[in-house]
Amino acid sequence: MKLVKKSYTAETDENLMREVIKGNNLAFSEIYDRWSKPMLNYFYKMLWQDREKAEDFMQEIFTKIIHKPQLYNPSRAFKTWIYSVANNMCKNEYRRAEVRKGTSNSLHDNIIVHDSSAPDKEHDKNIFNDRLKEELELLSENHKKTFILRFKHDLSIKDIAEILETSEGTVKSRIFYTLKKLGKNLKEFSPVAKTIMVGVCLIELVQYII
Amino acid sequence: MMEDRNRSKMDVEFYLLNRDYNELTIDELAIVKEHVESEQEFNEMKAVVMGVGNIFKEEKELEPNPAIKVALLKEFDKQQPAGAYWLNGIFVSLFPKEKKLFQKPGMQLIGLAASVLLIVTIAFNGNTEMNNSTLAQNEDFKTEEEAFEEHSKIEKDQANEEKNLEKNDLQSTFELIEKEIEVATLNEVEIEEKPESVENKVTTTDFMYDAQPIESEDADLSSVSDADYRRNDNILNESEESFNNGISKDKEKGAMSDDKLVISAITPATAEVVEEFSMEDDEGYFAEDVSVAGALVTGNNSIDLPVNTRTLAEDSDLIGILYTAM
Repeated sequence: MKLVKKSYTAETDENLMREVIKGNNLAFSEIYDRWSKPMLNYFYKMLWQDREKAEDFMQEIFTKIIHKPQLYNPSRAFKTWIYSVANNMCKNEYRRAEVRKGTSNSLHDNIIVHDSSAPDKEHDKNIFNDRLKEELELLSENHKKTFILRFKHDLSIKDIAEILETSEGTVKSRIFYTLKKLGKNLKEFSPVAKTIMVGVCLIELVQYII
Repeated sequence: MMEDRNRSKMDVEFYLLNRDYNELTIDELAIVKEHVESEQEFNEMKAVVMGVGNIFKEEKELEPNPAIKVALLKEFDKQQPAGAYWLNGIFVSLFPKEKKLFQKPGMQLIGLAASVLLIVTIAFNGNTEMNNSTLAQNEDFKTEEEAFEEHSKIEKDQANEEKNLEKNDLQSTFELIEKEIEVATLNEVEIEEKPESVENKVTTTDFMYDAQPIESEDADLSSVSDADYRRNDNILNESEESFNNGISKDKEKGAMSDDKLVISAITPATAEVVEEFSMEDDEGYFAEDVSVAGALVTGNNSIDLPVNTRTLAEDSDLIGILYTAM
C-alpha cells in the first residue's frame, strides 16, 4: 500500500495535465507553481498594468483548468495552449474595455500619457525605459501581444503564431513593424542620433564663439 | 556569437541583438537589407531591441498572492470526488510553501505541543510526594557509616581467624618438631655395621639447632623397637598396625641402603614424623637432606618448614581408603 504520492516536479507540463484530468491535486499544484507567475505577469502587461485585474485573470484561467481540463489536448504543447487561452481572455477584455470606453468617454486610468516636456532628461537611461514602456502601451493589441510574447516571454515565432492563431509570417511582420515604429519614435536615443546631436551642438557652439 | 534558442541567423532580430551594422558580412548584410533600408534605421531598431531587453530584465516580476492557490486547491478538491488521503498531502497542508515559517499550521501545532509539554513539566515538577503505604520500604536501613563499620568488623574477624589458624598450624608444627627431636635424641638407634667398620656408630642429630653428629656406642638396629626403618619410596607400604601402634619394626632393615636411612620415629601424636637422613659410612653424620615431618632440613642446618602439616590421624580416612584399595 502506497502511503506517499510521488513527486511531480520532474514531470512535463503535458504529463501533469494528464494527471490533472484524472483529478490529481498534486499535479494541479505543480502546474500552478510553474505557470501562475508567468500568467500573472502576462496579464499585468496586457491589461494596462493593473495588478488586481491581472490576479483575477490568472485565477480565472486556473479555474478553467479545474472545471474543464478536458479542453486541453495533451497532444499540443501546454505552453502555447495556456498562452492562447490567456490571449483570448485578453481579447475579450479589450472588447469589454471598448464598450466601457464608449459609454464613459474617457481614457483607461492606467494608460500613461507621454509627457515630452522634459528634454533635459532624455539622455538618461531611465527616461528611455519610461518612454519605451509608454510606446509599448500605445501599440495596437496584436502588435503588443506579439512583441511581449517575443521579447518578455521569449517564445518562438512558431509558438506565438500558434497562440495568436495566425501565421508565422504575420508574427514576423508584426515584430518587425513594432521595432521599426518604436525605433522611429525613440530615435533620439539611438547611438547615431546621439552622435548627430552632439555634432550639431558643437557646430552651434563654434558658430556662437566665432 | 551563439545562436539564440528562438532566433535563427535568418532573422533580422539576431543581427540586431548581436552585431553592429559595420560588423555585418556581405551575406548578413544581404539578409538585413531585405528588411532594413539604411544603417540609421538598423541602429534605431537595435536601440529598441537592446532597450526592451534591459527593461524586461530589470522589471520586477509580480508574485501571485498565496491565497489564490489555497482557494484554487479548495476548488479543485470540491470538483474531484473524495479519494485516498496521502501522507504528503497532509505534509503539504501542514507546511505550505507559500506561508511564512510561523504561519504554517504544522509549526503552530509543534509550538502548541511544546508549550503544553512545558506547562505540564513545570506543573508536576514539585509534586513528588507519594503515598508511602504504596511503596516498598527497607526497614533494616543502615547508614553508610554503620554499613562501613559492619564491613570492617567482618574483615577484622576474618583476619583474626586466619591469624589463629596460622598460629595453630605453627604451634602444631613446632610441637611436632619438638617431639621429633625428643624421639631422635632419646632413642638409641643401633645400626648394624658391616664387619669392616671400625666403630659402631649411630649418628643422630639435633638437627633443629646443631647439625653435629652424635656418636652412640653399642648401637644395634635390632634393639630399636619404636623406630621404623624404611626406604623412602616405600613409606606408603607400611602396615596398618605399625601406624596404629605408633611403633613397628620393619623386618626389611636388611634391605636398607648403606648410605641412606629413613628413621620414622612415631609417637601417637606424631605418627607421620619421618626422618630422612643420609649416613655416610665413614663419617657418620648427615651429608644430605634430612626431612622431618615434611620439613626439609638441608645439610647446612637450615630448615624449610611447610605452611601446612597434617597428622596421621587427619589422614586416617585416606590411609584407610588406600589400604582398602590394596
